[in-house]
Amino acid sequence: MMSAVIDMGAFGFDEDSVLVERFLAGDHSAFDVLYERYREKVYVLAKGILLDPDDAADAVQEAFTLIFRNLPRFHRRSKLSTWIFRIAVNASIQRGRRLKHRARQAPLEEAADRPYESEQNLADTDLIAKAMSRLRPEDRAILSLFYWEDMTLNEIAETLDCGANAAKTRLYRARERFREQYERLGGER
Amino acid sequence: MSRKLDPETEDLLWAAAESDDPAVVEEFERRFPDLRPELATRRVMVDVLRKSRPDARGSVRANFEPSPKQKEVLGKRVVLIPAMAALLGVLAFGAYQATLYFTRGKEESPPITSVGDPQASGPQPTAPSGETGDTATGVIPDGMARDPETGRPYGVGERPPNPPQPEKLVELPPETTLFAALDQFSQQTGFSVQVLPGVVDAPIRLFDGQPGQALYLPPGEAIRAIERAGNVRILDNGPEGYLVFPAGDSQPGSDPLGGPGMQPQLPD
Repeated sequence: MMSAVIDMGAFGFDEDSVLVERFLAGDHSAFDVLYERYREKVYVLAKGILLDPDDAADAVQEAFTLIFRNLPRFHRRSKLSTWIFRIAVNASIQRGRRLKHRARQAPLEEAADRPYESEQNLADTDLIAKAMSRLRPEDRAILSLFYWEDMTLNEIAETLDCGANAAKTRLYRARERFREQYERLGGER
Repeated sequence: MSRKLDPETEDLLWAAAESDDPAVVEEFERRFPDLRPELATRRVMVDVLRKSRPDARGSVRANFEPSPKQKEVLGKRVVLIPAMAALLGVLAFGAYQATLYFTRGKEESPPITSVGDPQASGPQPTAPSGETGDTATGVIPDGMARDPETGRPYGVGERPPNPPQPEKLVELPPETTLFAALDQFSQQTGFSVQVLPGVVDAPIRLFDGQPGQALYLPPGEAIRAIERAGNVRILDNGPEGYLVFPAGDSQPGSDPLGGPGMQPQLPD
């Protein structure tokens, strides 16, 4: 009997792909695993774009509903994670447009739930949230992907369905607009 | 407010601000000492921005529950794929069977000779049942049988490398006997040929050609060629096939162009 230790990564083994195959074969528990794996990341992204935690939670459900429905059409041209983030970004931005961004003071509510954080941290978080709220959802999306999901420019380009150079330009502009707001709000304090 | 920097310096400044490597920061400060305060400001901003990553714990529902409708759609998809494959298989088989049926129907239909052919205006004999000839089917367009330049039938002289639809034409050798030619015609077309008493078998020359060459003619033209070469009269007898008389016989009403209803008066 032959046996061998195979480094599945060396053969391009992708656990996500296996889960997709299982799901397409009718195994719904595979989708639960995918949901567990990505739900928090998708929430962070949605929260970065929508700012409001409830809206973000709803956007997560909306995004995963779309993922559930469209998974049979996933063509594996990109990583599953990239495809999921693309759906999440689009779902969140569209949701944000539908809601017309209700002016809720979410960061302050969130801050109240964090008793162990220092006052300085709370103030910084508040400042970031306010600066972010003054940006366009598209800018918030790219900043979230870059700073919170630690994506590379190429990954961002795939997620936003644009070229790497376009992603770099968009990131540069979003970062500049954010800095502008951040410094302005910081000066007001 | 920070001052306006050139794009290249901006890129370096952001790279240093976002870098976790102290060496990168030191290098930037060494090259751009006047931008130290700006770098420090941006490093704080980037640091705060990174740390302000939303906490997802407890914010998202632990389980994703697709609506029953979505589950139903997915379930349908799983069932639909093999069902569609089976349906396609049935359709393909049906199309094959239909093609086969119509092809057979065509093969059993009476042969049609070229338009303009005197024989074409008259009724065409049909093959007796069980004697369906594969070679007597389909439409033979005008011009296929004859060379438009010379007016001579194809096959005279040189045998065409790819005779046009040879299965629908009658192949005749340059030299043979009358009975052999009639037999060949009958076999290739499926038409019955009745030779009446008085007709004598004799060698005939159908066209000027070398042995091994062949003349390809539509059935109507082929039977006329045999008639001329064999010095006999051949009557189109409709569904009954062809009747072969000795050339000297006078057959009132036996004009082959008369149609199937015109029964010849056979000699006593």
